[in-house]
Amino acid sequence: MIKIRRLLTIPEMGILLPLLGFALIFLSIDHTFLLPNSVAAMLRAVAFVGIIAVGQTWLMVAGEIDLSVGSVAGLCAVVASWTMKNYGWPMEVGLAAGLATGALAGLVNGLVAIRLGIPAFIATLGMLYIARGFNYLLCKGYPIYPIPESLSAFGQAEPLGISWAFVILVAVVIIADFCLRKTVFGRKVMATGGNAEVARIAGISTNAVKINCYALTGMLAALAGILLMAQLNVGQPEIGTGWELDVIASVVIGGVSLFGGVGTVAGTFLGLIIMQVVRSGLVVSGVNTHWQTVAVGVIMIAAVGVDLLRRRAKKA
Amino acid sequence: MKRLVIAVMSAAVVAGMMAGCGKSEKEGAASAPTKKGKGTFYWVQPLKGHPVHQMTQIAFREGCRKLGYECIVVGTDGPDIAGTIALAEQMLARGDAKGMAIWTGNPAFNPLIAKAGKVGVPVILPHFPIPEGSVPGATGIIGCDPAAYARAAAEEIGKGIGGKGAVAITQGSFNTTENMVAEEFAKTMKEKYPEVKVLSSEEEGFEPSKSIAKAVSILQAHPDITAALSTTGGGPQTWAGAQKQTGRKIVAVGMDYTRVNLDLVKNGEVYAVVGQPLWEESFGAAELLDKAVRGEKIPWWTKLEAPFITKDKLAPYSELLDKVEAAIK
Repeated sequence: MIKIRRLLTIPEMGILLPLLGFALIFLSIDHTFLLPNSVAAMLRAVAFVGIIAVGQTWLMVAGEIDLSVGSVAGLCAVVASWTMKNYGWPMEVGLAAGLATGALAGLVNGLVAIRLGIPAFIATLGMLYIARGFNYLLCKGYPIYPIPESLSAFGQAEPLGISWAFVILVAVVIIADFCLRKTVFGRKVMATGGNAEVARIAGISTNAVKINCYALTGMLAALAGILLMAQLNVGQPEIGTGWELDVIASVVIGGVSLFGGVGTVAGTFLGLIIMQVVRSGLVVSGVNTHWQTVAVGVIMIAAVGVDLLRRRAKKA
Repeated sequence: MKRLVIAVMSAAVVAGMMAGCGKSEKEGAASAPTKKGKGTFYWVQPLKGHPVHQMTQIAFREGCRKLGYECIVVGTDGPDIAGTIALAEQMLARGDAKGMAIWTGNPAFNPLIAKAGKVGVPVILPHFPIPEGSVPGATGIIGCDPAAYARAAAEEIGKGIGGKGAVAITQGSFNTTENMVAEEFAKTMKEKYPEVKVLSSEEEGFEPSKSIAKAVSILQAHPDITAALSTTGGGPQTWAGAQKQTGRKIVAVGMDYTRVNLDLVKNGEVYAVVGQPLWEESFGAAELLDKAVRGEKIPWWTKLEAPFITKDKLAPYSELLDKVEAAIK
């Protein structure tokens, strides 16, 4: 009994339990729901948003938020494919240009939000438009196509029956979760989001911590955009459209506080999986397509609500 | 104070850069006109940077140029209906419009069209099948009949799957035209191939990774699916991606002859695309406006064909795309 209670105090349990519940419900409706192919498809689908969600987790734990991630992902995919196709840059250089664009966008977000003191919500909303605009300026709205064959082969390969994007997501999750919990920088991020004033007094350069988190988020957004570009075999300008909301939803469902200082990358990962299980499960269950959207919203609120209740009960 | 000064200076620098880089004021909301001649035709269209929309603008410009009219494209970069209407009203107020072609099936444009009609400016509505008499002030419409290509798609797909199995339908969004295509397709399939199960339509959206994930779920939920119709231009990519991920092979059909879609047909990843006559209807809108200006009577609906483009019919569309891409460059 004590062991079970202890188990329930693990933060991620509040997300894992609803996840198992949803999986069982959908499995009882359709026995094919958890077949290996079906699970692989769900994992493939979460990879791109998931990679960005890792950066967003760090950022939100540090008490900040980035709404531009989807647009930055799209811009970086277009930058990488555009430099490779139109200028004949070697693949590695094109990819580096894409990643650097992401890091730069993140850095600008950080400088504008932290150094200029413009609220993160506004600063990154501005970047959302700027990045989307530059994306269309570069490609004029047209998909950039084709991309180098080796890149497309990488994007379409299925290691472990899933995708390289998912393998990269898992690696990023493990590293980022470890760093957030165990490294000095991770603890600085936690302290900055928990109470910036106290962190400053303790000698932490909270501004530097936050700006670094912005740059990291931008670079991970670039990575996600580039990986999707590789899978689609096209530098598609629509890449990343609407991702910001999915990213924030996954992070919040995963137990990260909107006020900073609380959250784990592992929780975010489970939040991502919940979102996808619900989305796929509703399709598989044959729920009317309009009700699916309603259900996703309700389930999101319910999942966060259950977690909040569990935390309150734990405090009491 | 120091922060405020930095912010103001940064804004000034950005504004200066933008002003320096911009070619002309008109290229923002309303694009630079083609050469002046018999007068000005306006092309009103939200989401004006979208590739398909760009193709229609080029076709309309080409029509205007051949007929000796100036052409100005008016619209917002995003899907902002209110913003586009405001810009078009501004242009109408200038009083130099000889005619307007408005890319819409949305009743929100009706007051603008009525205003144009009142001041004697002919208005042609390309692409959308709008019933006669439902839009006061409109002179006519031009485009294919979505119900007709939906029926043709049902017959071709039915033939392709030998009248057996299940067919999925996906839509970019739920709007008048896509709903009509989905409904007519399902109706025809049930009539002509009663043994084929037609699944209810699902929304695939416009973001590729989400669209593919949705199509994968549909395939997994229905092992008997043998074909799919997408009513949107992203559909071929959606269903090609879903087939790759599930290892299934189905008869997939989508919309629009974009370069990516034609290559998917060429590679056999997609069976066919429906070639909505985007070029013809946009070019034709300029011709109809010219006729209206000259006092000729035009029919309410100038109907065009929407061919079913399979692997053996790709060449003319590839050539058309070469022409459009050259015009954009």
